[in-house]
Amino acid sequence: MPRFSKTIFLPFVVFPILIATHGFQSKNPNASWVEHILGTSWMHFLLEISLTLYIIYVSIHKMKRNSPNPLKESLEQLTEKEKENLIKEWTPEPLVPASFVQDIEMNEAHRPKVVCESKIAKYVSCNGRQYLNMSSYNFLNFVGNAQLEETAKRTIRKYGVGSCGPRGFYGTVDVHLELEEKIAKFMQCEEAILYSYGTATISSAIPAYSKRGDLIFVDDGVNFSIQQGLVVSRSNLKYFRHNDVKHLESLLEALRLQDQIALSRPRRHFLEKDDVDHPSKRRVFLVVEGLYANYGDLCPLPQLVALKKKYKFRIFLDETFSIGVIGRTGRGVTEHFDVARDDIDLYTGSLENALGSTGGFCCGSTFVIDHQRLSGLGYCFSASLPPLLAAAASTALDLVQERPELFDQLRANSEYMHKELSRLPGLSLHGLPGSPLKHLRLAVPSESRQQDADLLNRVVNHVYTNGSTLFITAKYAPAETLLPQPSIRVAVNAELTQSEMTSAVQEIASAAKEVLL
Amino acid sequence: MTMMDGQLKDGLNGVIHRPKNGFVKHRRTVSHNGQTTLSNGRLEKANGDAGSGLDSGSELLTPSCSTDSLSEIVAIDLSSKDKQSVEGYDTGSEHRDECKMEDEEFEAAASYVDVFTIGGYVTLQLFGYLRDFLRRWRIEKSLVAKEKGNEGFVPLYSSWEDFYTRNVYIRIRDCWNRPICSVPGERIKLLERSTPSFGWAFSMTGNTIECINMGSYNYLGFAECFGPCADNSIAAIDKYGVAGCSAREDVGTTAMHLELEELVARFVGCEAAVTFGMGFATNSANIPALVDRHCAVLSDSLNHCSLITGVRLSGAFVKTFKHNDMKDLEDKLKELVIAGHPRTRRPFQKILIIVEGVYSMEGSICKLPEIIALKKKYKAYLFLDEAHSIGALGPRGRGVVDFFGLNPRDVDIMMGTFTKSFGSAGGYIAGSRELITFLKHTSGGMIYSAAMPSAVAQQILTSMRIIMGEDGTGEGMRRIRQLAENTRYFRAELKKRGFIIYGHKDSPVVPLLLFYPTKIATFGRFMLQRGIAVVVVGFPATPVKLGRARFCLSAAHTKEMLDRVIQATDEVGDILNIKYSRKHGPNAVVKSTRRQKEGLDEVN
Repeated sequence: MPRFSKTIFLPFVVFPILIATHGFQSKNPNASWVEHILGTSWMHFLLEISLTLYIIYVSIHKMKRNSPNPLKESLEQLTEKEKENLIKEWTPEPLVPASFVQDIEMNEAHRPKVVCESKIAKYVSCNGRQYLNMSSYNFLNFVGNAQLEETAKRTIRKYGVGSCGPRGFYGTVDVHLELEEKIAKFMQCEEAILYSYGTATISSAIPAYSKRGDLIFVDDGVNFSIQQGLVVSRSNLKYFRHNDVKHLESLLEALRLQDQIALSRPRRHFLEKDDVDHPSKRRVFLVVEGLYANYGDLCPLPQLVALKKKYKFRIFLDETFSIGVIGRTGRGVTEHFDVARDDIDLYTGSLENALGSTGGFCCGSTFVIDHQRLSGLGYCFSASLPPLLAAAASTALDLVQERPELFDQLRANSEYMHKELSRLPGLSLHGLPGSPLKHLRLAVPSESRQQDADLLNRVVNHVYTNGSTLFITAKYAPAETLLPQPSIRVAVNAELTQSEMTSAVQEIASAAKEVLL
Repeated sequence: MTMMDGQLKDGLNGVIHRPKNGFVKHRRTVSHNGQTTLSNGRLEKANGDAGSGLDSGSELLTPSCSTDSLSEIVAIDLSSKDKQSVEGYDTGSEHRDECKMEDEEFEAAASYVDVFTIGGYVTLQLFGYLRDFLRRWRIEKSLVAKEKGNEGFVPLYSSWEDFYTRNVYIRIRDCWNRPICSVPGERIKLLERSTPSFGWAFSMTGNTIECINMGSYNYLGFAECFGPCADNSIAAIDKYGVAGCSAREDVGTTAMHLELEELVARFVGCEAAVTFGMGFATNSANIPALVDRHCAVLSDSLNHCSLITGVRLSGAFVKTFKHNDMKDLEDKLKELVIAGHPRTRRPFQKILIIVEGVYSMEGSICKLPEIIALKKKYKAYLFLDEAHSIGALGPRGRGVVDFFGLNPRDVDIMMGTFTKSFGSAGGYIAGSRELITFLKHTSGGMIYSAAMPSAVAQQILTSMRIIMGEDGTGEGMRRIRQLAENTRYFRAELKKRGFIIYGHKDSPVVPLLLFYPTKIATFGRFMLQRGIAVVVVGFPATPVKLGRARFCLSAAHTKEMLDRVIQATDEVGDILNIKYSRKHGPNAVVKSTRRQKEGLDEVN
């Protein structure tokens, strides 16, 4: 800074001298500019030369000072031979960690490797045997639904299988537009946008809005695709404890105080720019799941909306598991809690779970959603959803609206299963009674996560080999940053009968007794 | 006629062959290895006396002859070059690699074009400011969507963020997102839209426009609603349902998935393969599993967004090298190995080079032989994204590795998508058995994402078997050859008419340079008026100065269709004055004759 202030005054000193010395010999006011230059005094000439030299000196000096790259310099000092040796010496690690595959195969020795030979519906046949499926997210029993299949087949006859292009380049089929409209209507939003893959939806939506310098508050129980979206966005993250509104509020309050200080600080210089994370420029978001995939419970939406109004942040609600599941007519947690639709800025949902198709969607106001049509990476740069799947999802949405009793059945089944599963020996049940997604965790976890997972795998495997029900343990990627405790994940189907549920519970109860006690 | 130049040149070289249907004969002859080579099935039938006028084995006529012959200046020394590039088609030729690279072209336009293009953008920008000003003072009615509620919040987008969208893109928005209502095959039905508000909102008029489809990535023409692919897919729905509602590592794996993976591995020539339900996610979910923050990634500057997302997710140290510039790649590779991580100063654990087979906006083919040599020299790993090349390149349709006749085992990670050549959806990764087992246990795409739906998987199975000839017909080979021929013919014809065409002569992606932002939109609209659906792209998808139109060729295009497209492009090219090429076409000819005249004058 002092160096800068000195140089800035230099012209004020030098220019008057230049002007003063200039006029010595140029007596003729009508001279052309060439004569003018030729006619200047030697003193003026000398000053100008020295000034030029000074500027060159300063700029070179500064350039040197501005690029202190000792790394590059030290590299330049190496001789060719040394470089060659360094290259020869460097041995990379193998592409795949050598012992990893063995390790994981040992760890998962007891996890059943399921290869299905039929539709993955309520009943599934694998290994030549018929199993009652308690593991796939087929909540409304739409897999194997004749109407869905009929639509899909009809669509193949009209549009073929693939769409052969991204949405921008002739990949927008009229069924996509229809489905988007239908979703928007179902979700009571202005607009919806369709993605071709469920997990790519939220991980593309978050970085479309939240950029470097922005701030995101995240529940620390969110699923993997949200975690990926957060990483891609490169925003600042603040995690609050799972479903702990108090903790979130304390974080928000701390932020508010910080912001007050930052905002009250006057700018030192009129040219000084605010940082990207200055409170006047930084956007704040809250990312939560409707129904948590890893915990089976709902987010406390009314309290979060109240906080939203107080602290001014936008809410992104991931309803991957709650659309078509939670709420009186399956419209998700906003319906369940009776929260106004507009209070949530962005909903993301999936067509892969309850709706029995593939793909994902975002919906909200046109102002919010339209932005994704050019900035949603998974939307712009990916081939569009195959028309047959879009058409199937469209039919599924119709079915959901035609048969609201499905949700009552689902809730009743979930509650029944909750009651039964909570009595299992050695296992504790996580999740809400009304949620069809439940996690069975060890009642007394040991020190070692690996050992716990192995125990649960043994329970599941015991049912798989001896019983006729298919349970599975939840699996997590090594890249998962918010690793939950190992669990057996139970997914309830709306069309399970009482006897089926009883036998399933009996089988897992006897397996748990066998393995854990 | 259209092939006039080619025939003239051939005449000069002493080979006279005049195909009746306008295509230059793709004759095959005896190569160095003594392998007998085949000729194109379909054309052979058209004129049966194909080889009668030729010495077998001595002269080679391929579509390449016609391509190169277009520039008269280089016509004299072409015959030797032609032979080499033909040999490139036979497996095991030695000189193949270097001569293939010479077929790539990125002609620059005259410098005044650059200046005026930037001038165009500046003008648009100025008008944007003017209209923003008018909207602000309510002189012009603002149609920009406004946020409801959320008063007092920090704005969701800063106003410069969508300045370009609001003031430029909206006005030419009708060139993109055109809805279709048919199978995206060689012809396509578009839904006609009307926009009384000049791009702010669209409404369907209820009419449909039938077009020739030059926009979809239907390289081998497998986007069909009848025939074996569609039939089998329908049967697959009967067997496995529409979808599975479960991830592969949970209970989503069906016997069909395993069958598909086995077939894909065999197709690309690797030990094993794994498939995912979305091409984008194949990259974005697997790169993070392979590299972490202790690793470095060398990425081509024109890599697809999915690769960039994947690398960003992995947290690895990234360096981009200039597109297809091997010198730059080697320099950076050397620096990474020698210097290690610039922040932590530790040597990298792994270095991964990420390239694509065919670059979808440039039409260029990666210099795989050189990249493999470099990778071996510096012990780096290679990730090859064959999204646009699998099925579409190479004598057997097995992508860029097949095109160069290389060993697929030299590429550590072979990635590709099923969206394009196979007319389906999803992607695969192929490689060593350990790699695939590793990915199955670590990739987010296997553990969390829904498995590939049955109909989609079946479409790939059927189309891939056809390409491999396992259906017992020569249909797959016919399609591969037809695509190769269409590509060379189309590229040559456009070049001959003086357009600047980017990329490799064998790449089915044909970018035609338009430069000006205004011409991008006009070209799209004029072509639609002539019943041709093309893709036009400008900034920010391309560099500012290089707006372009892109044609994607398909084996399903017939010669009549291509001729119609060429004729329409020619017409529009004259109207818009976009024949910028100074190497080929009318402008080049004028120059050379002028030079000749001048030369003659000097002599006189």
